[in-house]
Amino acid sequence: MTKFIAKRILLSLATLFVILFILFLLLQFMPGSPFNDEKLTAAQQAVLMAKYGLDKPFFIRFWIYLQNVVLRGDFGISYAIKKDMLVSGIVIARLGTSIRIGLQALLLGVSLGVLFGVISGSKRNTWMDSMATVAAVIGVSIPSYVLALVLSFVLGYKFRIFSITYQVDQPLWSSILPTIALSFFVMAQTTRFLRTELIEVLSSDYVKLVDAKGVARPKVILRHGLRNAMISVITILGPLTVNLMTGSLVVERVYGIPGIGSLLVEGIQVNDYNVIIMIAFVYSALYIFVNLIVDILYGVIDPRIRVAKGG
Amino acid sequence: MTYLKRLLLSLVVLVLAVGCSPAKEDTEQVLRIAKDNDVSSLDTNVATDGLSFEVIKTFTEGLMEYDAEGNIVPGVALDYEVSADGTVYTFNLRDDAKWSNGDPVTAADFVFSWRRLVDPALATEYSYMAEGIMIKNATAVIKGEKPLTDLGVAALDETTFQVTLDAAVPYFIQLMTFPVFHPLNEAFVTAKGDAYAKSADALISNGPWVVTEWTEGTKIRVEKNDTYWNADAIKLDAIEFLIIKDYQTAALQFENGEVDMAKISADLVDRYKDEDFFETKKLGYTWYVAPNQLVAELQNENLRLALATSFDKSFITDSILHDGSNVADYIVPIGLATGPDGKDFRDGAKTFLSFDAAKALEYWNAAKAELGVDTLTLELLVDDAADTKAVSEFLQTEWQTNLPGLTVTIQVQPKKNRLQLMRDGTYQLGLTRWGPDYADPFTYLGDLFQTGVNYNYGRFSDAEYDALVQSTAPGGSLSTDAAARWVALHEAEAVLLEQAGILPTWQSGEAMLVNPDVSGYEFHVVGQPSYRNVVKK
Repeated sequence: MTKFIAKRILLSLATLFVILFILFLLLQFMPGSPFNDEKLTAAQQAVLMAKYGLDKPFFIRFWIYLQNVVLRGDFGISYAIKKDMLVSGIVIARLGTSIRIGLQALLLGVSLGVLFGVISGSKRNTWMDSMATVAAVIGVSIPSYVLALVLSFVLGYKFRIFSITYQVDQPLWSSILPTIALSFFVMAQTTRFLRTELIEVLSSDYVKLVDAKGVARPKVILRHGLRNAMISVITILGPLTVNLMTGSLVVERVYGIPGIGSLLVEGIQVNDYNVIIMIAFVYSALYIFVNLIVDILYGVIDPRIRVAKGG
Repeated sequence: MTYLKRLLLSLVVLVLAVGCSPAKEDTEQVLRIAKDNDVSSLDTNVATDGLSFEVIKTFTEGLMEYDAEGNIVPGVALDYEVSADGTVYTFNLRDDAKWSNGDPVTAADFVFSWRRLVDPALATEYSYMAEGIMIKNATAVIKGEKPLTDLGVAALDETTFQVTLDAAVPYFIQLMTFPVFHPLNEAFVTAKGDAYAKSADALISNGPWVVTEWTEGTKIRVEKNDTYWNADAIKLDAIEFLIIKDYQTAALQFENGEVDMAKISADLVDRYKDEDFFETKKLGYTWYVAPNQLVAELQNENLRLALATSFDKSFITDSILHDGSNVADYIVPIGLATGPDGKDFRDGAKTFLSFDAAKALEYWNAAKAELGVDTLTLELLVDDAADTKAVSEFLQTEWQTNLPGLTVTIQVQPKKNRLQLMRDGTYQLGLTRWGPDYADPFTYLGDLFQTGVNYNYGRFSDAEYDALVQSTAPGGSLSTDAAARWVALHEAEAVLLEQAGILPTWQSGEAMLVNPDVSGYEFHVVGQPSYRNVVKK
């Protein structure tokens, strides 16, 4: 197991290095500069580019950048969004918020999803199954912008139960609406996948054996059925988690959450190179990390995989 | 199932425990403003965007300020004298102006700030302003050829600040309200080093308020500054700038009473336009289509005249934008500048290129004959914003309908790309805008359309225009004759527009929701809004 993890980590670092290089390369091709293009002349822009070392040859810039990242965790400064301030400071401040709300949504979505999935899968073709399936389809179909606005309007504005926008001084309470909005999709996907898997698992031979042995129905479903069906759910949870943590741009915008999704878009719009690179890098790192967790969980949940991998 | 029960129970407990957000007992006057963007910097010499300047103006004050009517009135300076040739300005500063740490505001503070603005080590984006107002040696200092101390500014004594220019600059005094020329406390700035202006406690104030809270991406709060020389006249105890990017959300918060002022987008205008809290205001941006004269066909004057007069501008302002924008049959915006006669530049001035489909057709036919074609295809380049895209589609329809034989294609680009393409001259028709840097028509006529200037994307070139504009420039033949200069500016605009050097379309407006309990809010077409006289019931 440890050899497996060690190998994966090494591979991940190599991947991250390649990603950094590609990002740096791609940003070369963005037209315009991070500065006030509307008002600055080409000559003035050249002065600013020189000041920030942006006129140096590509490989020299990359080498300097790489050293800063690896040795000091310094991803450079922002040229446009927060002039002359460390990008790492800006991103990390927002990262915490995005990850926390993402994980909240994951927890809520998976909990409800497992609940509905189990109900659907085990009580197939009953009215409970239909209700759960309908909820799942709705959750998958409604665009997040609409959902976010509806929640904000109904629960925030009309009934004044929750805050319309995210308030930094009430982090848990004011994040309830965005959490609900983000969790819908997770809940829906989890329900659907779990239902399908559970139905298949419950009709398999080994479950029939357990049933025949006289084990109580709930225990059959939960202990034997669910554990086998969770594999498929965990498979989709990987990408889903990353999507949630990286902050849905739309939900962030509607609730005014200072998250990294909106920061990335803003960075792209104003050509703030260092912000773009760091956020894209963080996304990649998160994705790699979550996939690693998922792979480990596979081993934990399904002994067959653990054995096959040779521990 | 127990998990679900537990979850429900905790939700109920949460709701009961916290309930609705408790309303703060407000005995203090706090103005809450929803902003759709964040500040980029609160460093007076470094900031470049409108919101940053707006916030900076709440905690700093310059030599001069604007009053409610847009007149220039004393700020830190009590009065000033100008030399006969207009090149030396001597400001007498008030002796009761203080920084929030108790230090007095002195002439040396202005000298320090202006030198910092042009310091090549800092390479601020607005250093070109110092060149624009022709401060002695500004260009050389910015390039690093001369030391900072050679810049044409001096503190003759604690309360006398003197500026020496290379030539008379007619709009010099207007620019003394611009934040980049505000003073800085040298001891404070030096002590903070790199951390200066990067957080609320690394800022110092000489204005009506002090920055007490700056949460990136969320909120900036400023509170009353008791050391401000005119503190008694300031009624607002605090102002909160709340960053809310979504206009829908901002509008809901406004209706909930959580914000007092919010800008709204065009699609929300219909919902609120009949309310008493709905307001529109004019901005100083003029949008126009710049025909690229590197393209052979667009060198034909009749073609440009046809394009300029063949679309209904009022449809754009009333139906597509309907946010207070108005038809622009001119380039120098309404409310920009007041002449020596005390009237706005546009007051009684001529208008040009009004919509006239019949006349447009005549121009079109003449153009076709001169160019020897029956059909023509042109490309319109626009920003990928909702409103500009909608306008481009309208222009396309109008042109193709009213000028039969013309085909128009649309190219949508993000703004930075669009600017680059226009700068490179690789476009045909481009929808663009310009905002004023100072309250004088020269910011449009002089900075935009002279032969060879940077922002002359359409490569417009006319000797008569250049001569007229040069005479009105700083150091030009009319720079000390205000009345004659004003006439020349009008004439220049006429030369430009009578040959459709550009196709003006609209002057920007902005739609806002304003709490009726709030009064005294001052908005200026050039320069930042002022909250000094705001009272909230």
